[in-house]
Order: sequence, then C-alpha cells, then structure tokens
Amino acid sequence: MKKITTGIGPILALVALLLVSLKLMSDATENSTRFGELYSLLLLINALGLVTLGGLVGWNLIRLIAQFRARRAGASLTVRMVAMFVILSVTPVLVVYYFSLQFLHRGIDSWFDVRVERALDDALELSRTALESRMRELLKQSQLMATDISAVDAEKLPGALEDTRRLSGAAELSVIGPKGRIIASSNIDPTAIVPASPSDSIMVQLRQSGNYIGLDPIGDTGLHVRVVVTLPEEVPTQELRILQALFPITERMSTLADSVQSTYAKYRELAYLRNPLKISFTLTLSLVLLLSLLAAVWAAFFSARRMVAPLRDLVQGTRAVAEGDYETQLPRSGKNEVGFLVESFNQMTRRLRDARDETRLSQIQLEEQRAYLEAVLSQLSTGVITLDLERRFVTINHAAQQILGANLQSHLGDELESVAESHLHLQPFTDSIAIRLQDAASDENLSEWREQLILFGASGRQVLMCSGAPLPVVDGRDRGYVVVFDDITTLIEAQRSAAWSEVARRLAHEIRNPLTPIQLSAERLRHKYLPKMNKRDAQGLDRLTRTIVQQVEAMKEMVRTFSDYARTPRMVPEPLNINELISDVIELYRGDDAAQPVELQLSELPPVHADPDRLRQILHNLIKNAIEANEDVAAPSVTIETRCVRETSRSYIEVRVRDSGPGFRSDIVDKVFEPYVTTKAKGNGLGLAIVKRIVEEHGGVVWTENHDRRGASVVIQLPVAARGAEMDDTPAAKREAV
Amino acid sequence: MHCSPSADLRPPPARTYKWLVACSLALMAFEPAVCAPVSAEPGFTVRSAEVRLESGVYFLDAKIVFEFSAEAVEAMDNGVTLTVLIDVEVFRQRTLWDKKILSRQSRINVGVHALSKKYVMKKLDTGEIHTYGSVEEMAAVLGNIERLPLFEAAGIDTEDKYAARVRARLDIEALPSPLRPLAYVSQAWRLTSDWYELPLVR
Repeated sequence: MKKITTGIGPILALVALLLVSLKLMSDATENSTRFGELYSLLLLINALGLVTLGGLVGWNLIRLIAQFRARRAGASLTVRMVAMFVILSVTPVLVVYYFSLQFLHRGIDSWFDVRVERALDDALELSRTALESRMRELLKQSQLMATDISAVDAEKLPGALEDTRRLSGAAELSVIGPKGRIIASSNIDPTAIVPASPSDSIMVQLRQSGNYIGLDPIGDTGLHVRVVVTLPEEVPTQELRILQALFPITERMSTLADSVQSTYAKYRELAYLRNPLKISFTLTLSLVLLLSLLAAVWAAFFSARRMVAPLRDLVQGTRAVAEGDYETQLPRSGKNEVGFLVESFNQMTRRLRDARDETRLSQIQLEEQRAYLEAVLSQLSTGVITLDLERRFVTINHAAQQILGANLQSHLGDELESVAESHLHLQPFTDSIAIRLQDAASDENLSEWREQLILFGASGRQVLMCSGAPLPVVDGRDRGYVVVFDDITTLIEAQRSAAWSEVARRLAHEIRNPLTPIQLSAERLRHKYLPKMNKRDAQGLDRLTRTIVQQVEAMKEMVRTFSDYARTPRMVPEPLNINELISDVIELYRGDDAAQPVELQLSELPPVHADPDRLRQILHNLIKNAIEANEDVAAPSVTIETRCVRETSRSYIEVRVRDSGPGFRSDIVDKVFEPYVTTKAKGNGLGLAIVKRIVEEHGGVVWTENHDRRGASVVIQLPVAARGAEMDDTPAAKREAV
Repeated sequence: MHCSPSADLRPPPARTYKWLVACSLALMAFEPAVCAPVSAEPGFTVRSAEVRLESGVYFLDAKIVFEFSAEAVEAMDNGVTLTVLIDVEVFRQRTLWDKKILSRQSRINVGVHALSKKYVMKKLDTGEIHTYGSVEEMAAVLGNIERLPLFEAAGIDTEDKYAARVRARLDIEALPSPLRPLAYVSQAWRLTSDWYELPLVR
C-alpha cells in the first residue's frame, strides 16, 4: 500500500493513462468517429482515475497533517516545501486554465456567424420557394389527372393510371379508397409492390382543404413531391377515392436541395450543440487541469518527501546519538550536499562508536586493574589508605580496618578529620597524618615521611609504623596521598624481649658467674688468713672480706632481679575483676602497723582479660612505690581509683594509684619507666619498668601524672575483655599466640 | 398471451439484474426527481405486448407510448438525429436463475428533414424511411410495433417454460459526444421504459 501511495512508478503510469484517456476524450469531443463511441467510457475512466489520484493526494495530505501534529521529524519542513511547490505549480496552471477557457469559449462562438445563419435560412427558403412553384404546377396537373381518372371504369383504372403516370412523369400514381385501401397503383419501379400510402396527417389535411401537397424524402430515391387530391365523383353516393401522385424532383434540383438541406441541418446541429460543446471542452479542460493540479500536488509531495527524507533521517539519527545509540548509520542519499552531510554523520557515529568501545575497553581494563589491586590490597597484612588532595578517603583496605579496629568503609569519601569524631582512639593517627600532609603540602622534601605512632584502641595499645607518600602525578595533576602502616607492637615486644633476655643472659654469664669465685675467694681469704693475723689486721681483713661478700651478694641479688625482669614467663590470661584483685592485694598492706592508709575508690568494672599473677605484681609494685614516695610526708595517703571508660569504638578500664609524695622529678619524669631509673636510695630501678612491661603485654598503656599541689599518680589503662573468641583476637592474645 | 406489466408471473430477468436494480436505486437516491410519478414526466412506456406464433415463428406485437421530452424534440428540431432502441429478451425459466436465450434490439433513427419540415423515421433494421408531419404522429407510428420476428419455434423446448420482456429507450451513446455528459446527468434525456414482462407459451 505504501509503495502504491508513495512510489513513483504507479503514479506515473496512472498519470500517463489519464493523459492518453484525456487525449482520446478530447478527440471524441470533436466528433471523431474513431473514439466517439468510447466517449462515455473515456469520461468514466478519467473520472475514476482522477478520483484515484485525488485519493492518493488526500491520503498523502492526511498523513502529512498527522505527522505534523505528531511533530514528527521533517514534517514541518515537508509542509513548507509542499506548500511552496503547490503554490508555484498551481498558480500558473490556474492562470492558463482561466485564459484557455476564455479563448475556448470565444473560439467556439466565433464559429457561428449570424450572416452565415441567415444565408443558410435564406438558401433553405429559396429552395422551398423554388420547389413550391413546381409543386403548384404539379398540383394543377394532379387535379387534371384526377378529373380524367375519375371517369375511368374500375376495370380500366390500372391501365389508365399507367398511361397517365407515363404522360405526367410521376414516379408513382395510386388510387386509394376508404380506410387506405389501394384500388389501383402504377409505379415507375416495377418491383415496388406496395405504394407509399399517405399518413393520417395528410388525410386530415385532405379532408380539410381537399388536397395535399408536400415534399417527402422517399426511401433511397430522394426527395419527391407528394400530391394527394380527391377524385371528383359523378355520383355523390359513390365512395370517396383519392389520387396520390409522387413526382420526383429533377436530379439537379434534388442535388442542390440535398446540399442545402444537409448543410443547413449540419449548421443547425452545430449551433444547437454550441453550449454542450463548450461544456464538453470545459469538462475536458477541467479534467486536464485537475490532472495537472493533482499530479503537481502529488509531485510536490513526492519531491518534498524525497528531499526531506535524508534530513529526517539525520534528525532521527542525531536524536539517537543524543540518546547514546552510536550504532546509527543513515542510508546514502546521493552525491549532493545532503549526501555529504549524511556521510559525515555516518563517519561521526562510527568514530563515536569506536571511541565508546575504546572507553568501555579502558573501563573494563581499569576495573580489572582495580579489582586486582583491591585483591592484592585485601590480602596485604599492611594497612593501606589513599586520600585525595582534599584529604578524603579514597580507598581503605581490609588490613587497615583490622589494624585500626574500626569499620572505615562507611567513611569512604569523608574527610580524614571526620573519622576521629566517630572513632576517638584514632585521633592520634588522624592528627599525625594531617600534620604530615600539611608538611608535605608546604615542603616538597617532606612529601615522603615515616613515623611510629602509638594508639590505644579497642584492642589495647598498638604501635604503628606509618609511612606516607604522594601518589604519582598523572597528566600533571596531583592525585593525593597513600598512607601505609603496620602494627609492629608484637615485633617491638619480641625485639625488646629478645634484647632483655640477651642482656640477662650476658649479665648472668659475664657478671654472675665471676661473682661466686670472688665470694669463695673472699671467704677462703677469711678462713685462711684471719686466724693467723693479729687482731688489728684481722679486724681489717674481716671488714674487707665481709664487704666483698656482702657486695657480691648484693650484685647477685641485682642480677637475679634483672633476670626476673628480663624473663618472660608465659602469660595465662583469664577473665578477671580488677576490683577484687585490688582488694586482695590491699589486705596484705593493711595488716602492717607501719603501713600507710590506702583509700580505695572503686567503680563497677567489667572483667578484663589478664594474667592475675602479673597484675598482682603490678599492683604490688605501684603500692610499694606509692608508700615509699610518702616516706617523708607528714600525712601520707595512698589512693587507688578504678573506673570504666566507654567510648564509641572502645572500652577500657583505668586504674589510678595516687600518692601524696613530692611527685616525680622533672628531669626523670619522661624516663621513669626505663630500667634503673630511680630517685630512691634503695631499690634497683626496675619497679616501674616491670609495670610498664606487664601493662604493655596486656595491651594497655601506663603513664605518670604529677599533681599541682602534692602527689603523683601512675595511671594504667587496660582494654575491656571482649567475649568469647573475640577476646582471642585482641592484639595481646595474638601476641601471646605468637 | 397479452399481458399487463402487473400480471408478472415471475421475474427471472429482475433476479439476474439485481445488481443493476441496486445501482439504479442508489442513483435514484441522489436524484429525487426520478422518484416522481412517471405519468407527470415525459418518457417511454410499454402499454402492451404480445408474442404470437405464426407459421412456426414467434412475432412480437407491442403498443409503446413515446413521449419525447421537450429537450429531445428541440434537439431533433435542430438537426440532431435520435436513436430509439426496442429491446426484446427471451428467457428460459429455471429453478435458480433463468437463462437468456435471445436478446434482440431494434434501432430506429428519428429526426427532422429541414427542407420538407417533416419528421423522418428510419428503421435501421429494414432501411424503411417514413415521414410525418408531427412528432406525435411519428411517435404513434413508432409505438405501434407489429409482427417483429423474434425466433423460430423449433428452437425452443416444449417442456420448458419461457418468458419475454420488452422495453424502449433512447440511446444516449448514439447522441453527439458533446450532448452525452448532459444526457447522462439530465432526467429529460433519461427516456427509458420499464421492462414489460410477459410469459411465452407455445
């Protein structure tokens, strides 16, 4: 259907058929004998053809209006082009039509001339006049013949008629009785059997005037003068008889009369058909006009559609590209400018498609690399964090979250400082990185850094080794920073333990071993030479050897104590209530009369995961330390305070042992936890060092505080024990496992 | 065997030409004048018709009233020759539809001889030419059809039943081409009688 309504082939065939049909119809209008019989059929064919063509144009018009209302691509341009084509083609055709009609009507009118018409009337009248004089003579002659014949007997009538006919020159003589009965007849044509009987109108006229005369075209024999007269009857009662005579017109006169007659008849017919002829020509011309108009309108539709089609394709293609469809390829449309445009469009979409494919491939590769990197990072035991230039988290691997003891995936995209707001124990970590990043931003030489940090989080004290560096510059743009850190708590403890063990071993080997021979030698000197010496020398020797022995014993005690410090017995952690442990230890000091009062301020505490023996040692050391610090104080007091601190991501127990002594000296306050640092006359300086070591073994932290007025505090923080297996996942437990 | 139009025994041709009747009705719907009483308008009417068997040949006798419209008479007076057709059809009656066994058409030209001021009637079948002083006289003769031979009696089966029908009409296609479009759309030129149907008994 679309092919028929829009294809050029069927339409051209239809127009050609209509043109041929219109030509034939035009010929038929001009009385062409060849096509005259087909005139009505041709008229019908043309009408149907035009209706069909009109239907096609109407269909195109309706479709175009629908497309225009639906705002289809190219519809508006098609409407404008069709309107322009129609106006350009229809206007001149209408002008030509109008003037053609004018010329046609004037041309047909010019065929007729009043003078010619009058001349023909005159010619016809002249012919009649010429014939009438002859007819009058023939009437007189017929009346004479009637008189003669009326006297003839019935038996002799045929012969008399024959003679009379020959003498008169008539073609036929008939005597007719009532009711048209032929009584006798004589004809110049012997084969003619039945004479031409007079009609009713002749008989009526005969009855009225007694005779009739007129011209009659008789068969193929041409024009005749018919004379009908009544036969005079001698006896009135005799039936009425009439004589009919047919006289031929002379050949010359007949020819002339026929010529005048036919010419006159033809002219009259033509004059009569003048208006129908105008109508017919107008009809034909109108059909031609309609054909031209409809063909022009259809051609306008066809041309506009052909011209707009590539533009419409371009519009649709552009929309498709705008919607992301880069597969669009428009059909070629010749080698004109539009064709060049279409080719350029196709080239553009091809390049866009290639670029998109390359981008997709790059994205896939990037995703693969990213997945690979994430897989590697997730398997690393080292924490890796990347930050952008605004210090927002870009990537955080699993190890980083595990080391920091916080779920940081939800903080991707957040700023560095915001993490510390929800995870307070990370404050030192974020502050340190922030400072380093500021330094890196201000000084290029400080862009790469390395630092050891200590955190006290949910899993206790952690020592982190952090290093940071800017990410590689891509396309001249900085991309951010990467921070890598490791939990080296276990490593440091192991190293420290190994170092102290080595020191203890060396001490035992290098110092303790020689002490025994020294002591034995001094005792031998005493036994061997003391009895032999005089009193004075003996007293000197006794004093010297006793001093040697005592100092050796003191050195042995020192080495033993150090060995105890360096020795790392296996921890046996268990859920422990610190308050109960403190109460047990305090009982030992309350029994002593000289003991100082110990005040307890214990809060409700959750259990901790710790070795009770090691913690008991800590408490002994701290209480002993506090009592010794209060020796010179008038109103000594020792206070032990416990509390539980709960934060978002961690909970810990704090034990504070406070004395009323002078406090730690400022020159050693930073070194009080180092071995052999002491201000006391007695003591080996290992008390607080052991405390620090045990606290760190339990994942805790310890520090000292000097109070403003008097006294100092040693503060211990221990992580609250997690439940079940989680407890074993703490760094302390892990360290024990290691 | 003389029968009026209302004395139709059965209408075999009408059944055959149902589509023609439908088309005619559709055309009549667009021209109310057609629906006016026939007697008030000029036209042709078959008053009576008879089929006679003489000497083994069927002849048709018919009385047809030819009332030419003023336009037709004017055309004749102006030299236009009109052609009158007498259509005769004979059917063999069957159960479902009838079979046409004869279709005969008589053509008669009528016109005016200007020189003699006579109306001329020429039977194209026989070549006979007759002249008349008036249209009415010519029409009266034209409508008096006598002994129009149809077919030989030996050509039909005595066991079957036969029917015939007659009509008269003006042949528009015989008019000069310029007149035809007007004639097709003008009632004055649509001079066609109804079919006059009559049984044919041996």
